[in-house]
Amino acid sequence: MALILDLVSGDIALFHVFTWLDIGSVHQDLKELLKDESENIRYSFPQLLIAFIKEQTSSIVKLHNIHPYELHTVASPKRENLLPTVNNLSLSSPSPNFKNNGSCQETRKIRKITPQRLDLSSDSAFPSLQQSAQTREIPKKRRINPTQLIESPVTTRVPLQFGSCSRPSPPALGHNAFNQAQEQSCHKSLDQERALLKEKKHQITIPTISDLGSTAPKNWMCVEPDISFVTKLSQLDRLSALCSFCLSRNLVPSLFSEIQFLIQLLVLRVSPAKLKQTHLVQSLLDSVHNCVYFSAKTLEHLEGIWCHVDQSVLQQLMHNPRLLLFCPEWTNDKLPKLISSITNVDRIPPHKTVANVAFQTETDNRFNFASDSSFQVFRKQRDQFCEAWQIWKVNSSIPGWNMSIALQKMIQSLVDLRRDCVNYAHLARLFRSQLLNVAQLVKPINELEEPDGPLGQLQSSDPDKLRRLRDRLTNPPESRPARCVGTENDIKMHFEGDQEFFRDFILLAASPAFNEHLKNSLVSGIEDLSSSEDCDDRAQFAETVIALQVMAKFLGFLHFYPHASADHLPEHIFHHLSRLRISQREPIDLVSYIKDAFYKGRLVLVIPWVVTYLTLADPVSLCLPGFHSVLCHLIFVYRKAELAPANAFLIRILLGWLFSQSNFPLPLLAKPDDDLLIEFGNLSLATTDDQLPRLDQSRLVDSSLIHQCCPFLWSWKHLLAEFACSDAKNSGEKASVSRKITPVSAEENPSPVKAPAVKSLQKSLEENFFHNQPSSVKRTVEFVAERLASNVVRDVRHQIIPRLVLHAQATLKTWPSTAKDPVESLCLQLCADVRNEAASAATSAIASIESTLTALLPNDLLPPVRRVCVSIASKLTQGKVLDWIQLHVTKSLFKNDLEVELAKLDKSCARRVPGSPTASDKPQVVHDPTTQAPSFLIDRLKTLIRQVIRDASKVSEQDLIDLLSNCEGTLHRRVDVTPIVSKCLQQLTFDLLFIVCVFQPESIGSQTIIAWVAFWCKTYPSVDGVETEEPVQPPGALISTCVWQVLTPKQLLLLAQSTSPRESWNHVTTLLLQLMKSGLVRYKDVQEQAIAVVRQEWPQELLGRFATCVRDIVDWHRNQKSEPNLSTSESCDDDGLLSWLSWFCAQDDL
Amino acid sequence: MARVLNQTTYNSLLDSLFKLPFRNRVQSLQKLFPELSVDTLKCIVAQECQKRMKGSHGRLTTSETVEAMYKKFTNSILMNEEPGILLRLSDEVGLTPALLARSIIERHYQRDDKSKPAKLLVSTLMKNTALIDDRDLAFETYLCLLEDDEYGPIAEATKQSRGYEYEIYLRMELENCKVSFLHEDHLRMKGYDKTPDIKLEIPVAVDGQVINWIESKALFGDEEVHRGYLKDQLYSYWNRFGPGLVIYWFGYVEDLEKIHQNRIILIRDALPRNMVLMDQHL
Repeated sequence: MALILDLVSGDIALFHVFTWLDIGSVHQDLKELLKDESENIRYSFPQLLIAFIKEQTSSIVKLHNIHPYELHTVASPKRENLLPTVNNLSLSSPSPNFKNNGSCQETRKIRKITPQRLDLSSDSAFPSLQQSAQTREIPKKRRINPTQLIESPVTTRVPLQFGSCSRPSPPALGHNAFNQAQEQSCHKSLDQERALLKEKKHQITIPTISDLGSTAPKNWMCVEPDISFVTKLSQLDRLSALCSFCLSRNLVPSLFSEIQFLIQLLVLRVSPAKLKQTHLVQSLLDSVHNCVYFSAKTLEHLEGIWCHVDQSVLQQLMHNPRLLLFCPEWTNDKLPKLISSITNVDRIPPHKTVANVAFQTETDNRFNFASDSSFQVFRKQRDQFCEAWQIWKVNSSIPGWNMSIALQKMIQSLVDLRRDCVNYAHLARLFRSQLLNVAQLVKPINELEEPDGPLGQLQSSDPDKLRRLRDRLTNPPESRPARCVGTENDIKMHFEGDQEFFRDFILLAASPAFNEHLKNSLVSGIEDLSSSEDCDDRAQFAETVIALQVMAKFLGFLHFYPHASADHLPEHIFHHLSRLRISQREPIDLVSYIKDAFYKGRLVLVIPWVVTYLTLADPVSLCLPGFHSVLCHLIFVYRKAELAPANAFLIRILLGWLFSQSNFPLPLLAKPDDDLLIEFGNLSLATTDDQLPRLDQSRLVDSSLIHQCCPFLWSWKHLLAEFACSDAKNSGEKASVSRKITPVSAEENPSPVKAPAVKSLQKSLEENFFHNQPSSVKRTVEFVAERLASNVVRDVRHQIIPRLVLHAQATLKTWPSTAKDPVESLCLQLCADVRNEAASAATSAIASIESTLTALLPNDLLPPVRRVCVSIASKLTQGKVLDWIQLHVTKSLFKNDLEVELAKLDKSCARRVPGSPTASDKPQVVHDPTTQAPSFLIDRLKTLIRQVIRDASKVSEQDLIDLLSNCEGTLHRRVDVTPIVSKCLQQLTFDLLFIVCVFQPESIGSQTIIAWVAFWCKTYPSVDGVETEEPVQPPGALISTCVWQVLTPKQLLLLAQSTSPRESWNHVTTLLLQLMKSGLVRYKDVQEQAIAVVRQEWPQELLGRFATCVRDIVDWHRNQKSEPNLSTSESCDDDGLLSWLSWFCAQDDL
Repeated sequence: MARVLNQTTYNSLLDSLFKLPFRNRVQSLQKLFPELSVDTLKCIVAQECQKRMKGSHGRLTTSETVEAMYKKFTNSILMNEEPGILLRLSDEVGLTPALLARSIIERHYQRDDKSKPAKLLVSTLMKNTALIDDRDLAFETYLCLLEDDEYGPIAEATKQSRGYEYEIYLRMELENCKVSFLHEDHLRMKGYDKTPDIKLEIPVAVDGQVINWIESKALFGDEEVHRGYLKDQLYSYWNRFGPGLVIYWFGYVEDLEKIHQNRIILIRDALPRNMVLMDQHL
């Protein structure tokens, strides 16, 4: 401390100090001061400086807000500040006895409301509503209860840190996912307090709106800084120069907190009354005037920073009355110029219209599952997952809605619906896709809405308040606990908005298997995106960064959640736990990612997600040896990495944020560069695969992305805005709330280490060839090969294989049944066929490579170079196709299909004759819309039959002719006839004809029956010459299921109702004969039908006619047999049986 | 003729429907609601009947009740009653004719241990009543099938056919409009897990809303029907392909789209004429 005081008050040229800090060379003048400890001090100097400023300001900062209850918060050790205490939380509203304190005596009378500079956790965002009616002594709400802190075992650290006292929001700022837990753990007598709380809650009277507006009378005065009161100007200037030097050279550990602190100094407000009472220790910064002067000067010098922050922050700076006073040149000239030079493009697409995860055949169709059942189950899982998400979206904002009641069952059953790695993997992928989808939908916080009207004004003056108001409307405090799953004491990692669903989904599913797969999915997602090449476009880049952050956040959640504790860990347990975990492996190799990114110039992509991941780490983790190296690497990057200005700002602000986390082991920050270098040193410059675009120097980052990645940056604006508001009007209180960081997750996958393969000379030639061409050449060639190969494979899968399998299935029917294992030999045959066809498909695909590449490669490529590219692409394509064939075209690919087919054949015992018509053999039908629709035709036939039977309606011969032509039209000239419909029409047409024969024999012309039978023959060709379908039937059931049943009991019953039986029987006999002639009915069938008939009793008259009919059939059959060219099986039939039947039925005395 | 009903009309239609006797309800409704399309009325009546059967089928076909009905039937045969025995019995017990016939057949063919016969046997007999060995039962069953528009093989075939006819019609209409699409068979071949009737390979816009798929339903969309389809099909399509369109060719109740909340699925009773295709000029 003395050193710094000496430096500031002495006259050594600061230039020498800067050189010393920069490169370590000590100037003569400086030597004396530093004595012999130059190196030791050099790295801790910035922290000393901070501590010095802290000490100098401590007495006056204590008086900030002049609130008696706030005295202790300032300058207390860092950890305590992270936790809400009654002192720093209860300040947010003026207390009733406050007016007494605020009696003003200062000359510059400015009416103020109680300013409070401290955080509000989201819960306490609007405490004033209820607090204004309360007295201060009694703790009112749990969130503002005093919390006792126990020193954590990690706290071997610098006790005082610049800016540490001023962190505005414990849960928000110092937020690491576990803080909340610590907070809760710190209640010594929680229950007791709760009881009090309840009691108090009853007493609360909710103030009316007018109450809210009437805070104006509660004014108080504060000291306004005046440049003419500033003392020790030159010393302040020197201190400010040192400070801004350290800040701009990244020497201080947390850029963010220090600037935050400076802004707090700028808006320091001290009541003159209080000032009088307090005895201030004499120091450089012992007055408001000095503090504001120091702050303004230092802020002014941080030019490198302001160009990266959001316009609205700059606006606030520009209009800050104190800066106007102290740095008129900056605020009046430079800042406006800066603002106008920043083009703030909002690059998040305004509102994505597609909110679902699209089904992709490549990854989601049947071929991506091991079995049908797995595929079917995942179909259900996908739908249920989407359903759960929809239910949450609709209901989560409804007060009292409880996710675990509403969704737990559903989630648990869907996650473990099938305990199978394939399903888990698919579900994890779906989860990740939906998560990323949602993350990209998040709107930027500073988006302008409703520019007019009171809300619009609030939006511009204090967007955060607007957000809290909205929150409050949609999510009143009472409903909050319900949104979270689990009990109150559960550890909650902080997730905002829609991400809560995904966190709670994981918690409710409670499925270790799913978690494991999700981890894998996230790790691989991070790996893919980290090596993503598509970062040329700013929007694309921003999307990638945010996606990585979200994935890292959830990975961190999955990985660190088991290590979270709601209790504060006593030291011995802490050490025990760290011993247990000493060789624990991280799911993701952060060191190699960081190193890789460092050497490949991709830090700007990698650091944001690494930081997000680490902010979720529990206290024990960060002290593990595995993390030591990671943290050292990060500190090294913080100090040494060279990036384009905006990129550098982004990663430094993030890293600084991480360093200021309560869990962070501070001693590491004082390590000299050389120590850190040792960590880095064991990596010889990475040369592997240097194709990725270098990003660190590109202009990809703008302030909107910075603010999206670092939401906590908004707290600067809140500080300034709150000051401006309270300064300008007497409106209601203002609270500053800083955004919460969005932690991301990461996973386990050591970056692929390439085995030292022996490369052939050709291979190295190829490598060199690409190395000397623009990187786009290689990418293009690989891309073209990839796409072509994929198309060939697609063809093989969807065209060639199904075609060959179909053919093979047909072959199976004629395969000699004696052959041994037909499936096996057919499979072999199929493999060979598929390979051949695939090879020729690949060859023909390659033919198009030349023209494709010519169009895609740079125009100025030499023709020989292009030829080489073509040949490489061809080789690659062929190789890929071959690889796929080797892997997938195996016997097992076909076995299933063929076995199923074989089983079917076995079942029906019928190996059919080749060439039986199948659907595919039918000639293409051209649809004729003028024909009658099948459903219409069915309806008409049905109605007609009913009318003939029941109402004896007349059907003319012409009607039958028309119907026939209608049926022909429908069945032959339409494409919308299904097999069932066709079968139904067959039955109905036969029924109709039979019934007309029976009931209206006069309508049957000489040609009617012949025409209809001809039509049936053509439409329903019989599968004749075959030992037809005798399906396995229960005994005594059916003989034949054929449609053409003429002589069955039902038909005879109909015939019995005929009014002119002779004609009816004549027609029916003709019909039967025609059916037999055309081969639709076999002699054997008639035998069977006839036997069934005589089993029942019938009137004698009917039997007589029946006998005649049967005799006609027998006669016809005899004649047929005498004809030479008849099939042997048929001619062998004995017709003695039917002859006898006919004779038997004709007997009168039966 | 209107096919889209508002909730009030639909409710009063249902009210009248419940009060009407079972036969010829379509004709009676036509007189009451002359402005509505006949097909829509038929569809609503049919759906009401199916709903009623869904509710009472189990209760009406317990083994005891079937036994009683079978006894009644055989008695009537012995008494030489007029044909139409089962039809009259159907009116009496409230089962539709085909469902009743099916129960009687099941009873008639029951196995020795009184268990039900194979399903395949029963459905074969229903399809071709000439195969039934008892001539009276065969004839009575046939009469039942001719009378029943909701159940039985003929009614099923009609319904199935109607659905398919509209699907084919939709495909042709889309082809006429030069919309490129994949239909169900394509999708199944490509291994999709859920297959809408039409998946638009290039999306089109209808009334300012982009759609990616179309589902054709040859029936009337009331709330119950629609909710069922949402759960089993439409939300699944939305989950996979985004916003889409469902066509209820026989009309629907207005405002059903409200059910979807933020998931956009349009409802129409025909293929919209005002589809906006993607601009494919350079």
